[in-house]
Amino acid sequence: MVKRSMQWGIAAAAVSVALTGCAGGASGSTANADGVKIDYGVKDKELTIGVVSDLSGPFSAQGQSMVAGNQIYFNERNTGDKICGYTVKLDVQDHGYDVQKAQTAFNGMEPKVLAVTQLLGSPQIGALAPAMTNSETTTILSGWSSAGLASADQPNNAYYAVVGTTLPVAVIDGLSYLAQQGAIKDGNPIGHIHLTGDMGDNALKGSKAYAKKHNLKLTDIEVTGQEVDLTSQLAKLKRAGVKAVLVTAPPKTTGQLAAAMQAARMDLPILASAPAYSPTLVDASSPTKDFIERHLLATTPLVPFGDDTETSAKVAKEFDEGKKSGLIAGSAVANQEVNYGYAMSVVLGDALDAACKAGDLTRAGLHKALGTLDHVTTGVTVDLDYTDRSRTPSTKAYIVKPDGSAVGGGKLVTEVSSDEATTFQD
Amino acid sequence: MLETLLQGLSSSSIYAVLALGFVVIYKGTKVVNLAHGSVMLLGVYVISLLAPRLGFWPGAVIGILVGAAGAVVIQFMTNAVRSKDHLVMTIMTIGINVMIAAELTHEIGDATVFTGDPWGNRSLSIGGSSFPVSRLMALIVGSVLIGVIFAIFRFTQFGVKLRASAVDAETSSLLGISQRSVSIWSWVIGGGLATVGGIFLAAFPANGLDSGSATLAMSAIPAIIIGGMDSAGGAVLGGLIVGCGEAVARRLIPELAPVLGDSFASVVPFILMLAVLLVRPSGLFGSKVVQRV
Amino acid sequence: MSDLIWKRSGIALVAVLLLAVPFILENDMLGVAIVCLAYAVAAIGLTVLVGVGGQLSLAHGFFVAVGAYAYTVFGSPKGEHLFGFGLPPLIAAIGAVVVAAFAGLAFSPIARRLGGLYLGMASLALVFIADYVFQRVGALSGGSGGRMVPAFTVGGLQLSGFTKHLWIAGVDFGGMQRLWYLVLIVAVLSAVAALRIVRGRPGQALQLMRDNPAAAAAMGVNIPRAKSGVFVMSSAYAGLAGVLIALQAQTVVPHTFSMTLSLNLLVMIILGGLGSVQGAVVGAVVVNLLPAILDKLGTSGALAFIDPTGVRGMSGGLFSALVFGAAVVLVLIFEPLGLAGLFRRAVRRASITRAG
Repeated sequence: MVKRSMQWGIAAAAVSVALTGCAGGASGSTANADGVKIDYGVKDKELTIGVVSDLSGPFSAQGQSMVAGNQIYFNERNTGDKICGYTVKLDVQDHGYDVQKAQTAFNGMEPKVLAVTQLLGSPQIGALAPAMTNSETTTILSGWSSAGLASADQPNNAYYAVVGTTLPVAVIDGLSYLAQQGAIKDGNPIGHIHLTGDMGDNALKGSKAYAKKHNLKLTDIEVTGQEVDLTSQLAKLKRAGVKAVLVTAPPKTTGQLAAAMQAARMDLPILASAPAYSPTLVDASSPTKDFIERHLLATTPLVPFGDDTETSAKVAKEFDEGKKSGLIAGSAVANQEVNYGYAMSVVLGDALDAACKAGDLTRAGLHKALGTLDHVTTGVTVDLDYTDRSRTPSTKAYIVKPDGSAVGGGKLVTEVSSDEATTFQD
Repeated sequence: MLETLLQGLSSSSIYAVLALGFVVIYKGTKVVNLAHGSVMLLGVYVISLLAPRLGFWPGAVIGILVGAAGAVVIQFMTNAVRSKDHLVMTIMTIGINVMIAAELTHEIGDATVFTGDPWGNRSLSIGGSSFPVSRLMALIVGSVLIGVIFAIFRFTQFGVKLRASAVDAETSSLLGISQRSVSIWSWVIGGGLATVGGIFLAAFPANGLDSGSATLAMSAIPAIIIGGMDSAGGAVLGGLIVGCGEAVARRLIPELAPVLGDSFASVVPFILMLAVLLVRPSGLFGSKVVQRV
Repeated sequence: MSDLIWKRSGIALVAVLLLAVPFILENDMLGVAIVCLAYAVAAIGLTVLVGVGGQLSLAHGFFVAVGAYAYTVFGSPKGEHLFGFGLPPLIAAIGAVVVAAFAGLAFSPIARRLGGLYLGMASLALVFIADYVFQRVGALSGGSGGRMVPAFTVGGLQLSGFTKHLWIAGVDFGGMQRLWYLVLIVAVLSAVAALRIVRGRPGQALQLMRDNPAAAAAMGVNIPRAKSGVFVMSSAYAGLAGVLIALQAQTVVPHTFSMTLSLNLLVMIILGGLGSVQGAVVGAVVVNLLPAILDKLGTSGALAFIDPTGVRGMSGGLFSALVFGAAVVLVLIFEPLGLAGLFRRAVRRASITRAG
């Protein structure tokens, strides 16, 4: 019985081979009407860019806001100064934080897109790196871990771009700001609460480096995010007599940290890495709102949403309009993640413009063009330099102070640039 | 050391209340409610919506009732299984959990849910360490609940029916004890307890619940296993062992065995659970499942 | 007589379709199809454990992870920060299955002492402990960014990963396409082996042990040995599935093997029908295929209420979660034998009407 089916199967295969023949066909590049070389993602007057994000899983809120930012930017370009004369279409796919789904989504979109303007999720970033490199797809990452930088250890990251200062460098800038303000002095003990995994480990590198240089006694505590509360962790920090607490973990942990510090009457500065701060922490209903407004500072490459700087205000306005016109999902939240999505697309947009100018809008050409950009000004982030993909695109960070009355939950205090940040080696 | 023990006591109170909810449901129906965390989150979410307008206590009462109602709905679904196989019913709660969790994640998004409880961030000072008032309340409420449940089991008709059904369902129903009402009431109490546990879980020194908090209820599972799944007293003892074990581990491990890392403390309850099971396969106070083969 | 011809043609048709899959499906859906078959292997192991052996395990995803990581560690060269043994892929794969089986063996003392729900809860502990180990031992797991999986090369022929272009019948016959055939063969052989076990003496012994332990013991069944045995078998199947998953994904990250995977595997075997090997395969295909199809239809706008961007509707992921949760509840209420039970009933009804 098995043999009979095998015979059928082989016959079918042979027939299909015979019918369709051995058509070859490498996909080479061709040139468009303006003589610009093109390969993937271009069809008539349309240029397709992909988005692989989390829209239904644990990071769905961030993902949706980032997608809104992507949509705002490309809508701006489509209705104004078109990219290389093309109308950009976004192919948005949701992976729900599932690695398998992310791979399926990318495999499906790969032949149809020129580049990816957002890839969210560190497991997904790790899992898709070989595929991105193999297909030469320039991909803008969400996330500031140095694990996204290209290096000898991570050759598959060559086509990834990080939008902003990497976590360790931002931590260093933040610490130097605290030192500048006199909150910490050389020789002081400090604490760093960090999430298990890549994000936490990465930021810890920064605090360790700075601590070494300034003789700070660093107590680092790892959390899983599944803690009921942080009282025992805080007791350890209290025993060490820390003068400041760093936190690189989801905003929920930051909230628990503030609550625990309030309980223990520890009126110390809290320095939060960018992923650790969210405007929900200073929501009116939050019991720790006042404590956070008084003590917390975020060190981040992002400008708060709706800040009165030019681009942020513009993005906020377009966000509102986008919601009314149905461009943006009704459930998208207005916070700094929108600015983040916008910035990701500015970087890609600038690279596309440079590639167009150089006459080569193929995947390889785009990759090369991105590498020529040494000064990308998104208006909602620090300035970015992509000439060396193994280094952080910026060594500067913004210090943001939480403010419940601000639209984006925070106010920009200043931009920090420290020597320790510039000399930091991963 | 006092501080560590107080911390252990503090988290034990939460584990104990959550574990009680599991135990009541198991004792009444022999089903492990793997949707307990979602019921907890549902109840707390309702409170967070109502409390700002109605005040904490009315909001809490309604939330507890919603939790109980949700639990009853789950009971109806599990009861519809023709074979009445407890394993199958437990697996069904997994499916139900998937649905509730997905919907709640969609609703709550990345917001944090607060109950606006009246204990705020007040703490007592005990021997130089601070003990949150909300956890003290959890201990008191937990103890009162144990007492109440114990009294119900011992002295009321319902309690007698429950115990009889737990020992021998067939004979009990032959004697006219409605299995149906025993089941429903077990789930009602269990669901209400889930929400109560959630209120304390969200309170200070934690900072509210978010869409991922439903899995925190799973941390109570070592407590119920160690204590024995059908023992209310066991649930409390299990909660104590788990809470204090975790606190002690968190304090000592970084000094004794730093290579294990801080996150090892979160795994300690599960290791304790496996250790207890190897020695006592039904937990410390669970009724033994006799299988002499 | 005609029944036999129907059956044979049916099998032949299915075989033809299966062999032609890489020529029909594009890379993305082909990847999903491979995953379906890989998880089918895991599901078969689980359904034998839970359905035939009556032992609830919530840790099956852990054994899948063991297989995936063991293959990666055995097959990768020793790195600066990573464990590796540099073994040839075939040896690495076999080694991975053996390691997974051993892991099952290591857990079996607990499995032997415990019954029913207590065993299920104990297996939960495994999941949490494993999670900690994978996160902690970066040299093993490569941290949350994961590590690369060595391609499966046998006798100079590369069967997974990125390969040079090879055009057959208009299709770029790359790693994914070749992997399909490997996975297909493995899945078929696993299913056949499992059917042999279930229908044969071991299966009958297990069923007796599940339904009436006293009678089983009286018949001479060594209960502890049987419990261990079925645990080892199901872990080996899970490990094998892990190897296949790793080959398809080309990178292993701890996140793939979270608690959600164990729960999904349970959903697969329930939908398919507890204890049915064919059901496990069908369940695996449905659970892995449906969300992908929904998403694909949703983005193309074919389904009004599905929209990943959330503008027009809910995401495919959320909808699938709701559907599967509801499906589990409905199946357990109305047809505890799952899709396999439904199929059997339909076939019986068809043959009755034809006879009558």
